[in-house]
Amino acid sequence: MSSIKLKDIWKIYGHEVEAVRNLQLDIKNGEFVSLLGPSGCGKSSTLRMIAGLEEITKGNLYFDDTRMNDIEPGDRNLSMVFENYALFPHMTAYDNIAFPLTVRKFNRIEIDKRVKEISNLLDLDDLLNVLVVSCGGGEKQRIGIARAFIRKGEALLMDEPISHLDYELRMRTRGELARLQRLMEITTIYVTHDQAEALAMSDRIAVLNFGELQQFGTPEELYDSPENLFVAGFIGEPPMNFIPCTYVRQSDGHRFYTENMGFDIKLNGNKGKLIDEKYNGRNVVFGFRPHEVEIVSEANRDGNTITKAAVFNFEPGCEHSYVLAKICDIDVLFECPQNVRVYENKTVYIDIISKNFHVFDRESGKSILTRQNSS
Amino acid sequence: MGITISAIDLTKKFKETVAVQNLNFSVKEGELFAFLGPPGAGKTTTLNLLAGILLPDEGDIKVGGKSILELKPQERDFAMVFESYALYPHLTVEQNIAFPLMSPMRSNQYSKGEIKEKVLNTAKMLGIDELLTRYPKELSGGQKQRVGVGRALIRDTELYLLDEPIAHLDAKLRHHMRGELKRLQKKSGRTTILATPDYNEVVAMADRAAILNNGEIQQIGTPLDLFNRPKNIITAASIGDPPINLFDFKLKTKDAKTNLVGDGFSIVVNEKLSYSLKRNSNDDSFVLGVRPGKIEVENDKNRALLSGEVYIFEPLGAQGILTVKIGEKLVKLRTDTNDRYEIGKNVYLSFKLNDSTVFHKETGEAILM
Amino acid sequence: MSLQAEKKKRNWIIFIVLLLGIIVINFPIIWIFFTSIKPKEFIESTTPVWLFKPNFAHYAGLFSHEGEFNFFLYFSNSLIISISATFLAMFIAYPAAYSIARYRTLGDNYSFFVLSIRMIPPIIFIIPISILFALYRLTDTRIGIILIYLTFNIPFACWIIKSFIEDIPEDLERAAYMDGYSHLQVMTKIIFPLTKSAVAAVAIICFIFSWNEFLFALILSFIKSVTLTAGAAQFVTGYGIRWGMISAATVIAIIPTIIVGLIGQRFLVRGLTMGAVK
Repeated sequence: MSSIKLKDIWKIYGHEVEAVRNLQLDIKNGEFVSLLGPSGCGKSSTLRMIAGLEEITKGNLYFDDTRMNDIEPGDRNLSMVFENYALFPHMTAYDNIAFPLTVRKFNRIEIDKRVKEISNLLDLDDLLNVLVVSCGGGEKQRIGIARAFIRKGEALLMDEPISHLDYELRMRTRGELARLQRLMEITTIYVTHDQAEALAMSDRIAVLNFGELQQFGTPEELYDSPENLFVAGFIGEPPMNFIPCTYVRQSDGHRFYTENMGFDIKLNGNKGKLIDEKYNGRNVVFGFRPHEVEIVSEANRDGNTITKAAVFNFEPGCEHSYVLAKICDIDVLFECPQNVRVYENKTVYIDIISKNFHVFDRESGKSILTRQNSS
Repeated sequence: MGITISAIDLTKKFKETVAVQNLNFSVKEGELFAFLGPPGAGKTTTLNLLAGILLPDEGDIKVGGKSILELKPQERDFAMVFESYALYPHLTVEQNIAFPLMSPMRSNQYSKGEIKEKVLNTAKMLGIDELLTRYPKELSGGQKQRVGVGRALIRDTELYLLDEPIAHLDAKLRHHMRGELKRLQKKSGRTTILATPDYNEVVAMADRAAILNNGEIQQIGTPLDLFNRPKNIITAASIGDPPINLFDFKLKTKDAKTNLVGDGFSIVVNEKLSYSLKRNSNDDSFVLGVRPGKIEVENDKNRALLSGEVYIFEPLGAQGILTVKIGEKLVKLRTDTNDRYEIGKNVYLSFKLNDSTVFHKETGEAILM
Repeated sequence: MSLQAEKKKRNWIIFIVLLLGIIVINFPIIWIFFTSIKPKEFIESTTPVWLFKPNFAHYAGLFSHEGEFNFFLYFSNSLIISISATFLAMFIAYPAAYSIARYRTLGDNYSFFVLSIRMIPPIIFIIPISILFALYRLTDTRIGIILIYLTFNIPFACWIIKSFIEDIPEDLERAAYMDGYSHLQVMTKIIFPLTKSAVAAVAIICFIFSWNEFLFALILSFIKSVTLTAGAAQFVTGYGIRWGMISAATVIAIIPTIIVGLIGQRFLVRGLTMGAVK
């Protein structure tokens, strides 16, 4: 297995449509990397270029140090999994799982060893001799996964393999895929539009939008330190709230306020991150996550970190409820405990208790936070 | 203000399979009532029976006390939003929304000008007034869904039937539309029946809900009632994500101590609990249900109720889902993402017995404690 | 070879193969056209003559009633019969297709039923039909021929249209019922507009079939209801075949179908493949 490097990669369709622009990616051996983004962001095009199913318009693709641009897909020694697992219904689970190896004429002892190894990891030992047509949906999924993983090629490529499944099955399969990859340490590149999937399974995630790489980092890095507005708004469910405002650095903290003063808070301390000094007095976007607020009573409304919000929808939930409100005409969503009831068309006061708020340049959308012990 | 509609012993079979059986429910005036169930549970069949698109094999449907079985769909005058949106592909958005008002049945009710105005108002309310001249194939999923809702809303009708109306939208849009639909329903005050496989919708929108499974109603109640006081295993498993953890166990007495013994665990219980369990059932086979939100990782192994091996840890931003293998079972719980869990490592878990529910193994019914 | 160069080479090979195929398929028609403008002497020579001075003597002969060839009668018969056989077939087949598609009239094996009928060589029916026609005085009438063509067109149209209707999601009709429309209104306002392409394609095929039909037109008509195709057959005489005349008649007979085909080819492709892509 090798590392996969994408250098200066471009994909242009018909001289005009730039599906992938100047992509740099450095995928380590044995890593699980997700290509994450909305539809049309270029993630599938990128995967297909790695597979050799699409031509690379510009740039170079390397497996370890070998340039792969002109090598046929069949010669790249990759396994690819598409949405439809395509099992042979009238063959046994064993034969299905072994198929990628039997077709390449591996020797029988080796095949047997690998099939038993994988079926053990996926709890399929009892099903090996059962015909696939008599297996249940969940079992078929696991057989499909086993078949995908059995051939330890250079890498395993997956294009939204579980998006068509119903919710329950998707959750279970997600866990199984993640576990198997960790145990077998196969370099995996996984395309998805679902940020939860990417967060749950990946070592690192490459977020793409309109063909450009937005950020490439671990799930923690993307969640805690998104580098721009797009990543901040895309990662995390429910999504981050954004308030365009002005930033002023004061002696006792960071002040953020909107023009009409409907939003005026002062925060200090931000989990070891500093705000770039040159933004003092400039227009920024303040970001905070829905669970980082607390509802306070009207009596406590005078506090530095407290702001008014006009509620326009209350969504009860089982473990916590959601409030949709407007802060100065800007839609925000925040969580509140299950037993708290908030009424529509009323004003509430919320305390922004975030120890990890985010600030972005209003024009470029880039984060203006830097690490304290900066690099 | 909306009608009351009820079903009595409603049954529908398709050749050999029973789609729904002995449905009994009653929806109140102005209520938003939901049917929650997995695919194939019978939700669409139920709505189609209420709409008149299907005729039941047995049972009756009454509106305001009078049976409506004899009425054809056109005569029942209900509005329906279909899971597939069912937009007419050869008509523009404007024509789609106007379609119900142009039907021969209502041809004399509205003038052309009135129809145009109503369409515009409805479209504005749903934020689709800019799309009136477009065709369905040019619209996104969210836009199509709103056109489907608009086509239903434009009618002055007493009952709305919504079949998985927001199933195919992305998460952000779904949040938003849950609020929108709920607001519209409260404003119009019209009786609405919603079918969905997503319990979040039920909890967020419904006044009351029925759990439908394999064509049968398991329980009817407010969403919180269904979540906190499930009467049986199926109801408990229908709401909550990840779903409730279920452990088979038997009551065993050893050394004057009673234990709940199952695959890979043994929990000591006090006399009161064991007495209450024994009293409520003939055999000693039970199922213990504990929600993922109520289980915690326990560092002190003496206080732990369960122990097992880490199967997989899935971080999801602020929290993560930890799956632990106990015996042959996979147990899920929520944890902070700050901790690291290695696959195969041993881990201890604890929970309060008060936070759990015990069910009969055989009947699946909850035992009140 | 790079992927792109491979593709180009493959495209050229495909192009050449297709070109050869087109030439082979169209050769008879090209030959007939040349024959129709060849002077008589050159047609019957033993070695094929490629270079000659073309003239339209044969065509002139057709229009001047040579050998009892009444061009205007034959042409108007063909036109009337084909158009009627097509439109009547559509009016009958469409509602029938709707009924079969949605309500399973005639059971679940309709496709097999239609296909098996078409497997029988039509000539088998010639004698019984001739007798029937004589009994009902339908021989040599336009109505008679139309009726026969309907027996071919209706099941075919029904079969194609049925499968297109089946591709339309049932939810659309249900929505229309809920909106207050009756069955008939649903068929005309919802289903029909969505199958326009298929209807056009089927109509074109039925027209071309009816126009080209030879066997029944020949046997069942003598004077009054003779069509262009049947009329051309009279140049097969006891004294030999008048190739020049028959070629000219054939060319004239082909022209309308080529025009209809060219105009309609857009619909044909769209109509016949519409159901395949959702």
